[in-house]
Amino acid sequence: MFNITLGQYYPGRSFLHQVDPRTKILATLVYSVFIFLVKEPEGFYLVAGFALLAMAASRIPPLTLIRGLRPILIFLVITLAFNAFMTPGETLWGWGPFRVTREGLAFGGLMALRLVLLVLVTSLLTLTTTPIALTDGLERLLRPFQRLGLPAAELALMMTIALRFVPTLFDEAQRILRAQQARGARLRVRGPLAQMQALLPILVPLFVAAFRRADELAVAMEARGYRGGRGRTRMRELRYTWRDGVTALAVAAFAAGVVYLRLLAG
Amino acid sequence: MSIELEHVSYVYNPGTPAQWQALRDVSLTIRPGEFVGLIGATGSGKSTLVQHMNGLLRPTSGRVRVFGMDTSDPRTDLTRVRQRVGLVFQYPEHQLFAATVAEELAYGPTNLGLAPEEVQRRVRWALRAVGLGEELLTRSPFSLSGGQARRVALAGVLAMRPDVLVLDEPAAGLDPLGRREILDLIRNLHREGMTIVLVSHSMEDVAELATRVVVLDQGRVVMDGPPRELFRRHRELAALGLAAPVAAQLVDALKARGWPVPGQAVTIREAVAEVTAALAARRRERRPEGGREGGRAGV
Ligand SMILES: Nc1ncnc2c1ncn2[C@@H]1O[C@H](COP(=O)(O)OP(=O)(O)OP(=O)(O)O)[C@@H](O)[C@H]1O
Ligand SMILES: [Mg+2]
Repeated sequence: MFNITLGQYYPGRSFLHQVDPRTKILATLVYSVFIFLVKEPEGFYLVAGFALLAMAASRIPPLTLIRGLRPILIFLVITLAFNAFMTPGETLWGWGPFRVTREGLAFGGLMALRLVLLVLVTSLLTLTTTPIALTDGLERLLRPFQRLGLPAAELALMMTIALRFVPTLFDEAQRILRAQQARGARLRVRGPLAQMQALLPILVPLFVAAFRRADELAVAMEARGYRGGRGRTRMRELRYTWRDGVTALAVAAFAAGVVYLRLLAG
Repeated sequence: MSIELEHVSYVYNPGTPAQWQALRDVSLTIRPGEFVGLIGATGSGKSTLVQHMNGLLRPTSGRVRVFGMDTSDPRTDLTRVRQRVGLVFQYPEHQLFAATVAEELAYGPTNLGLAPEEVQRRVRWALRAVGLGEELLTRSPFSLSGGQARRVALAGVLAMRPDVLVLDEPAAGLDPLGRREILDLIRNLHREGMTIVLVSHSMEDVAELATRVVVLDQGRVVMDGPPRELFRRHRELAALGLAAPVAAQLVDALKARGWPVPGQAVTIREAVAEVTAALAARRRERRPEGGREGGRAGV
């Protein structure tokens, strides 16, 4: 069944949706590196500002973005707590040998903020780019390394297939799970061995299904004349537009700002 | 009442871009002993509806009661619901997992917590019920033919001895003989007193087997009645992307051309009976006028 939850793409036609995937991948890379160069509070205005700008350019409801942070909530709490307790400094609150320091809270807060921004910006990449465009972009970016023996086309194909079939297999798993539940399957049982056994009725059919699909796909690809990446042309060519220029400028300005602040701080 | 659905609505993936309302205000009662044919265009919500009948899906709003047990009530023991309503999914052979057919069939009854002797009794009974021999018990389910595997999967659900059997496209992807065998088997189960809900794309199968037909369109129940009445409404069915059984279309076309047929047939067998009777009547009419026309009309 085809549903649109492929990857986590959020359909739309915003500025960011229309930026070339290569540009978005590189921009995300630059952002992820530079965010770790920032130490001083002024720098955080810069990284947060860039993230907000990107969010605005994506036109994705903020609530959807925030919901995407749920899986890292536990990391955030640990980061904050760890830093708050472990950094020496002015004590705000103490209990036994544990004390929360002002410096710790500030530092932990910044660390958590960095994590949040990093996840937000990387999820913007996957939210505004279809998985296919993403692999296309990666393939083009990796192509120069082909001369060094890197099988870029094959890697991209593998990624495309994996991305395409993850939701399919997920659907399949769900269907099998329901079918076994209809036969009274209980999944929550005690003991690791019993747990393994309880999962077999799901895992065995899932593997069988995966191999069946792989077979079908191989036949379908051969029937359409696929014979490796060499000399293959594409239906959708990637092209840079003015949007990529604007994005590149914004990223360059951001990077320059971070470097400038770093130098200023000495 | 076996299964009661009251104002059931169901939304997939609520609150996401993939949100989809699959059922809209469906009210439906399945009574003991009925054979309900559930039809509808592809994507009309048939599979979603049948998964509500054994508590695999819980309604987004509305209520489902299975032999009095409310499936949305957290105190309801869903294993008991699933024991009473057996659900056979589309392509059920894709859920086979065990090393032998015997183990495969024992899975359901074992999950019900039955004693081993009772489980064995049910395994043998279910295998017989689907018309397979005991020599298969030690075979691997993955070594069976398509039709055999389908029947083993069906037996896996039957072994739980449900009161109601719900089947989602049980004949899909089988050759004509396999189709025939599965449908005959379902007919026999109904004759022996089991309540049946059959999801099917084949109007012919539904016309032949069902005592009641329910038509879904875009998540709504749009028709509900005896097949004989329902399959006369060609135009309405066509508007829903469904075709009345060929037999019904044939006798209606003949009737429209002035043939003396009652125009009640919905199965091929009934159509043959109507047409034969009409031909015989015509022959009787023409015979007094002499000649051999009557004979020719009969050919
Ligand atoms: N897991 C799911 N997630 C999202 N949408 C779904 C899911 N399952 C079904 N749907 C959607 O709900 C609608 C009804 O689906 P359902 O499978 O119940 O239809 P159906 O009548 O059984 O169709 P078919 O005849 O093709 O089997 C369809 O539009 C389908 O896309
Ligand atoms: Mg279906």
